[in-house]
Amino acid sequence: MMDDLSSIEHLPVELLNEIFDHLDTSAALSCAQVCRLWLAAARRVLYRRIELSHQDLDRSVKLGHTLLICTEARHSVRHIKITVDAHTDDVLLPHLAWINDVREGQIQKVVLDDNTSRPSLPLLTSLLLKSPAGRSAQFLQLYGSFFDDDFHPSGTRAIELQNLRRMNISFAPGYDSPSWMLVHFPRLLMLDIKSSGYSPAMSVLLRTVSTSLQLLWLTWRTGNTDMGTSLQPCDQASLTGALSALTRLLSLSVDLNLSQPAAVLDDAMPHLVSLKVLTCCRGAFSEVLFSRLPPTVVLLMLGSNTNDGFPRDNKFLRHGWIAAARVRSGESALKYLWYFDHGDADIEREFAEECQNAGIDFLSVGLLMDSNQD
Amino acid sequence: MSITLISKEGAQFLVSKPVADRIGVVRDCAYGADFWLGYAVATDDSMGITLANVTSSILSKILVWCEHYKDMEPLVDGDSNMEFPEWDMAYIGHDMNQILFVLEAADYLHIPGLLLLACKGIADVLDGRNPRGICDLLGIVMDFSHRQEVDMDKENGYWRWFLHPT
Repeated sequence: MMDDLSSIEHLPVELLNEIFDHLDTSAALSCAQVCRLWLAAARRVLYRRIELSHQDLDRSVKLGHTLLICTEARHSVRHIKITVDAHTDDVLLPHLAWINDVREGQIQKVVLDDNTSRPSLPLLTSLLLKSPAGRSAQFLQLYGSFFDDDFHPSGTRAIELQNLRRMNISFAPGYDSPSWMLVHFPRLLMLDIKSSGYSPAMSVLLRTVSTSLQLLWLTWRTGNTDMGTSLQPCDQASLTGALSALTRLLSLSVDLNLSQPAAVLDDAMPHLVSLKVLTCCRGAFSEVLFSRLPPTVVLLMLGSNTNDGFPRDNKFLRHGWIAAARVRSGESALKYLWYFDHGDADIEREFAEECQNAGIDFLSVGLLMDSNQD
Repeated sequence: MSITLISKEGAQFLVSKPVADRIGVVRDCAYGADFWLGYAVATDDSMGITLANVTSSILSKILVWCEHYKDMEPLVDGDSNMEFPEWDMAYIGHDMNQILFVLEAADYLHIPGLLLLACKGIADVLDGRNPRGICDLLGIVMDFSHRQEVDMDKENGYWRWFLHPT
């Protein structure tokens, strides 16, 4: 090895990058001004994760300008986070012009965040989905409403999100647009849908991802009201239909916080032929779940429905015997059944015994609390 | 069981197996293909491995780290927010010259935990210095062209504002 102090100049770029990963912003800024090689390595740190927000508009405007005029800076961006804090979404738009000028495959993650909890940002969502930034991202977080105005079934070009692996998306309840039919996600594995109720666009989206999707979270929260969300019979049918198409799904988590039972899962069950893990809350299924549970399911987690308007059935587990019988006959691979609800203690104890005999690991909140009191 | 490591100068270091196992190239070398084929390990006490790129002083420094971590897992993954144990920070110190040699040796010998610590050590030495100070410390010559300086001024306009908003 050289006994020369300047050996840092001979370090491979990968090592220099690793060193710079430990620098904070001000140190990276000093290092950027040392020499050309260091400037490139420092830009990697300075622009890797960028954030634009309404609250910080002054800074966001300057950053947007820098990214527009400096190609090297623009090419260093990997993660983009945009935080919207107003009722319109066009304030930041002029400062995102650079987003159309990044390299294909460069951006890994795009997050669109909304502090007003009004998930309607059609312009931003549209810009992100159509730009090379959105097209190359592996992770996207955005809102369900987009480019309503310029949608023409024949004229609009389809959008291919080739690299996308995971998407978190929020829908406004009732939002209906065929636009999602034009977006293709050939490699999407994980999808997390949040909403405060059903929107038809949700079913459209689910149908476009049915060939690749392996993990799905579907969560509806109603905010301050605790009466839960309602689901019309026709909406239930189209949601069930969309879920039925997910034949490659390994894990499904459904938490709909319904105001009255709407057995969304019952008719979808026989079609989910790859499912291994199912998490759902009471109300989204009826007692036929136990007999229709796909034979591949290993872990079943049943939650409670916590809103006030929901009718309770503390003897629900009496329907569970059929699940144990199916395991005994070798028809079902169920190994774990976890029950997060306060049911009838006698039924739960009896069911626990039945499960033990069938080789199912049964766990319930009620029994756990009882055993803690003993 | 122990293994003899031989430095660039030819000095011999007798180390126990758990210590030597921390060094990726030694581990691969000692087990060789036999390890993966499932045979017994063909290592005897007389075996020596020559590390031709590592000086005695750096090798003995590295073996201190390997000795410390022979029974526990070091951090191997991290960014600017992570905290290293106190022992690590005291071990790596602030001698830029030495840390650089440790870094290069850790890279050459495949010791990810030590590589990460050396990177952190260098970053800590750089922290709080201005560009001129860094150049003086490391003997680096600024090689920017005029155009690049103008470009960078524009960027720095943003970053200066970012650090000290008015």
